Amino acid sequence: MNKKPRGYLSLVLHAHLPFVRHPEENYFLEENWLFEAITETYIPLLRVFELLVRDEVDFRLTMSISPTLLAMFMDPLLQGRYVRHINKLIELAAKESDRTAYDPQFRGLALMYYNRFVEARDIFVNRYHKNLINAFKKFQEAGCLEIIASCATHGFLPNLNINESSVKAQIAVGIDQYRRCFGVAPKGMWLAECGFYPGLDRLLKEAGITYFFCDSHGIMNADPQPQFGVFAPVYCPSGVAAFGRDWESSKQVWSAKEGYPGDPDYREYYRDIGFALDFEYIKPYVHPDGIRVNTGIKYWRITGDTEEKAPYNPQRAADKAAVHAGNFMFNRQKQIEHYFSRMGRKPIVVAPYDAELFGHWWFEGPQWIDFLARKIFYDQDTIEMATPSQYLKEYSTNQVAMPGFSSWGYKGFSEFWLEDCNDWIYPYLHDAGRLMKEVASENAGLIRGHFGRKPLKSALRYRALNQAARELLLAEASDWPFIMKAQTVVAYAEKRIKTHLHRFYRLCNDLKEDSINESWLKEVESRDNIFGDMNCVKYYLDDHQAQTPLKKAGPLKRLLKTRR
Amino acid sequence: MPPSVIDSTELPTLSQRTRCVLMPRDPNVIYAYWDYSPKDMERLHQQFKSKTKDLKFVLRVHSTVSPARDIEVGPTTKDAYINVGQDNAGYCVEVGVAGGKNHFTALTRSNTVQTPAKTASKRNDLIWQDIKLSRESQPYIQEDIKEDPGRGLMQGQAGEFQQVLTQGPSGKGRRVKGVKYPRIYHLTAHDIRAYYLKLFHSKSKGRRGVPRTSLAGLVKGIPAGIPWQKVLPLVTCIELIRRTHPGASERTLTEKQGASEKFLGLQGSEGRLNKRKFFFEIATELIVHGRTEPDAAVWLNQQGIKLNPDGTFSLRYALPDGEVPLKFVAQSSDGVEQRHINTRVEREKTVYFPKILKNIL
Repeated sequence: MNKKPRGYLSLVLHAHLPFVRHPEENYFLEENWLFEAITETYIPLLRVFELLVRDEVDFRLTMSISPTLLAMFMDPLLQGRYVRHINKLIELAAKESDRTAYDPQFRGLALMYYNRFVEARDIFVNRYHKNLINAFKKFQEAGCLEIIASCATHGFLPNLNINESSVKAQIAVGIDQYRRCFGVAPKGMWLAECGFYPGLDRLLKEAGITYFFCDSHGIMNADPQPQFGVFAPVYCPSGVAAFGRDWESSKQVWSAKEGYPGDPDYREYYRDIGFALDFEYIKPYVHPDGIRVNTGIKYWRITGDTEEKAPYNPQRAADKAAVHAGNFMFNRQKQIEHYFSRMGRKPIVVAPYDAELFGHWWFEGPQWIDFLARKIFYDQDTIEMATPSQYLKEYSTNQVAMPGFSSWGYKGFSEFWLEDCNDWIYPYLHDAGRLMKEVASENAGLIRGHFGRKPLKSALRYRALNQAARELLLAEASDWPFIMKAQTVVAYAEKRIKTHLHRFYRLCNDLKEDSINESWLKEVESRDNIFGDMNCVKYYLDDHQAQTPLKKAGPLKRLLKTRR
Repeated sequence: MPPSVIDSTELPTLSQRTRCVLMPRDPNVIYAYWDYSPKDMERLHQQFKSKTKDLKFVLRVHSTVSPARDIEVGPTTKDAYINVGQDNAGYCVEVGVAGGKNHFTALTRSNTVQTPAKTASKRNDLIWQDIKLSRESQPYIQEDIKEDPGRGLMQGQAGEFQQVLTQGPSGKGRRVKGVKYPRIYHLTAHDIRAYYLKLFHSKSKGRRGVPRTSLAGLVKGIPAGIPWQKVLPLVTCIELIRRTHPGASERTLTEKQGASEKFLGLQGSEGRLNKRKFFFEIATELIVHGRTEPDAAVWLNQQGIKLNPDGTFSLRYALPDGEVPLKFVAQSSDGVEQRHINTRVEREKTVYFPKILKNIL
């Protein structure tokens, strides 16, 4: 047990996927993003947490789970589809273990996948009753995991800042979703893409947030210059704490050249049997239209900069993950010893990563976290794992400085989300944000529950207002401009943003003209059902409008229940 | 319900309003998009007695660090990435039409934005705050003083500061010569605002002749949230430069308001040097020349270029800090062939802090 650590390591995992749910289709390719992440990242991480708790290893992790991901975790349609997905994978893995029966190189791997898939199904269905929020909540309540909130639909706030109400709604809806899922208020907030601009801190403070994260240069370029760099938080002038990403520890994991995940012994992501095996054989397990997809079964290791890949060896990869965990810890020890001697207080090294890196992209990532937590607990006493809240509890006095505009994206600012290929979305998003506020303002009484003399009509308008807010939030997701720039599934991203804008403008128009088509609205509600029973639109009201005392909204709730 | 009714992928038509929106992209580039309402276009036609294609549309870029500059844009162009070349500065754009000598008719003014800093702040003041769940202290600064804390730096200069702690290690207020004692000054919200808004206070005078600072700041969004639209008409660009030049605004703040600047060590030699007449500036220019068929059409960044009778052309531009993209297109007179040449130049400038060769005091 560590007695006198000289500093802290705060490992932060940001779990996020855009809201992809298409009840209108029986099989939808992009829904696989969620299914792959559940099998390869979320369940393996939960498995690591379980083993650490079982072995009484005292570890601390901070994790943000985006509101869109939470909504998908809770959704019965997607839960059912995941079970269908994992059943298919189990069937394929069983076929694979038969196919490779006489191939000693791959038989063991096929069985490994079979066992993993069976275990994933068991954890998902039997242990957590298809809702992984229960799982994460359990570890938060156990005290080893601190889950923080995130923006409603992962909106990149610096680019939405033209309408403050849009930024406020992204924050408030995110916090609302968090409360509904975890039953408590969040302490910290993960800003989508680490996107911060001076002034955002005030909105976070107003929303009750205690801390958030910035990229390294956001803190290093803060005004005035922070005395301890990124190794201690700064308080923004509003009083919210900003923790800066440590570039060195990030690079060791992220860097394409120097990072651990690129080691030749690790599993190769880009060699999947979905693309390699005979089409007739693999056909039942790929897209029904015959499009080949990743199945998650991959038999090769990275090997090196060559097309001639060698078979994957799980034991060798596990040994390497242990070596890398040791190396990471050693570097943090040296770093912390150095800064401890210079700072006169314990430094904190903040290492945030996308959660999906672990397991999905870097297959051995969850194992690496397991080794790291155990090594830190058993093998040394220089560092200790801690969450930002714990650090603020120990060091409540910090320097006041305003972090600079920054993100953790390409070049460190807004360029990835504001470029020739995606800038066309902003006139629409800003106009829609303005219009949303205007429409909300016109219907302030209704939003606060005053249904007047025509309660049925008012209930319909209330539903339309909330659906308009949901459509706007969905259109604001940073994922769409990101995909356009990354040139991956551009057609899908464009379709999504156009569809949400179309639905939003139609709803606003129908509200203004008082011509809401109820069957159309019902269909749209059933498709974009994110934040379904939340009053999202109230966050677009001016403060004074929102704060006016609510009258009893009993009839409203009854009406909405009967109408849906 | 047919899917097309739900899944329309047609972009809605935005209502045509006259507006201009700015977004900072990185330390050197801001993105602007704008539009004109049919009514405003009609007004322009009447005013200038010309068709849309003959109007000279201009973006007038105001900055806190340099004089306003005009960028000509095509009548159908509705957005642009503006290379401002200066980080950590405020910008505002007016969209309008240029006509005649120095005549500019503004149609609309954008929001104001602040480009992010690309280097560490030059201010290294230590302001502290203690925030616990149950209690939040005011921000404070601390200095180690020797002996009698009753005399010295703060007296008569920092009316905003509230001295709250002057106790020595003994805890009884008795002081020993030569021993350092911490002295803590709490800062009010006004001090903090003044600290962050030093670049943005207005020229207008408030009550009792004290310069009124633009207090939109910390509590209402800093620094991008400053109501610059209100400030701009009151100050000329030269004023903007003067105020943002090192030393100028700090002196005003310190002398007139007794705020934190002087105590926090921000005046010093910068302020003194500023009073001297010595100056040093450089400017760079960019010359581009080329040639093509005399009857070809050539554009640079979508702007037509006039060719010499022999098909040559030469262009000369002021070259600011930052990256300047140059996209040339030449089209043959028969409209059959088009050739593109893209190039870019980048200028970087480092201005060093003045070297003091002799003590002038």
